[in-house]
Amino acid sequence: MLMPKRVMHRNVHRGKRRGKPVRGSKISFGEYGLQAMEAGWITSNQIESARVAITRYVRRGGKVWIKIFPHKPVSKKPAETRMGGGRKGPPEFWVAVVKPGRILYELSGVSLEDAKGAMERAAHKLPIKTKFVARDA
Amino acid sequence: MQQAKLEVQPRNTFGKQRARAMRRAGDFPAVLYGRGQGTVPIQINARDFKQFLRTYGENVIINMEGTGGDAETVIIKEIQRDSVEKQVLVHADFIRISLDEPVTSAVPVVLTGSAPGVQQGGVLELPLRNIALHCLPAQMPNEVFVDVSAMEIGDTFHVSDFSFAEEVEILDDLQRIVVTVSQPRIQTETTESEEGEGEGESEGEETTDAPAEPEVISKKRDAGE
Repeated sequence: MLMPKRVMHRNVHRGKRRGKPVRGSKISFGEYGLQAMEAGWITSNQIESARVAITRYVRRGGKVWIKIFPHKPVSKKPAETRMGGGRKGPPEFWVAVVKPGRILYELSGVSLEDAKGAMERAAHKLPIKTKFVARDA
Repeated sequence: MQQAKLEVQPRNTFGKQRARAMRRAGDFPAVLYGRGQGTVPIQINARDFKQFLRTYGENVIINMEGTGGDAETVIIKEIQRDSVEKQVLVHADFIRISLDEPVTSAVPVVLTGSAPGVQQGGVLELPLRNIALHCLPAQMPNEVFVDVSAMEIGDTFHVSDFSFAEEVEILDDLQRIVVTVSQPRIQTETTESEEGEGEGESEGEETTDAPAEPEVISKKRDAGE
């Protein structure tokens, strides 16, 4: 599962999700991509699950790039603990903050139909609306 | 590089609100600069410019008219598009050039033919899609072609394999790979079982309290001090 090796701070604030991505909205490496159409947090489990869905569909050949990384820790209070107490819970999972337009996955070395099928299956694993995109000619 | 004419209008409105209003009205803001002369803010009709790009592409010498002075010889430096709707033009940069002085441009690589290696199951990869060339504008090609019709699995085409005229200088590293036909990555049974294990682990992680935590740098620094 994707997770940072080292972090500056154990817990971070939730932050804002407004705006559009500054970078990462173009297909850089592959021929086809999956583009986010809304903002959201994508957990490391969801990223891995979608990657597995793509690689299983394009079993023969193809190359996949994961263009997002879960840098952000999300903490959670332990079960049956009262609120407050002045201490946050420990990091529970890691998320990638995604804004509309961001390319999540890229794919090359497969036909258009296979790429569409793979990205459709990956999209089912993700909590946001996405769109299949192909590189500009 | 082919030449084309483009009509623009001088712009005297600035700021994001007016730029948005301009885009709603069908134009978009752009800027012209270079060669030690002043910066000229301009606006262009988005529909006309899209038609221009469809006809000539981005690698073209433009005779720009309507900047408020004489016609200018320019090339496109950058086109900014909306990150979600790629057809929406946000802004464009044009840079003045002289036809007597060399310019640097990123020329797109176009593949021709079909590689036999791909028919055998290989994957055709194109790691370098644009090649940086430095030459006079008239000698600058619109696109460079790579014939892949003889490429088998394992064959590579490097930047050094391009043959240009002597005046054309290649700025990219000559050892960089432009095109390669790589071995197909067919999943074996072992990788599949690894994946299965990985999935099992992930399911297990959901039930456990917390995954392994990464090293916290700030804590380490505090401890060192």
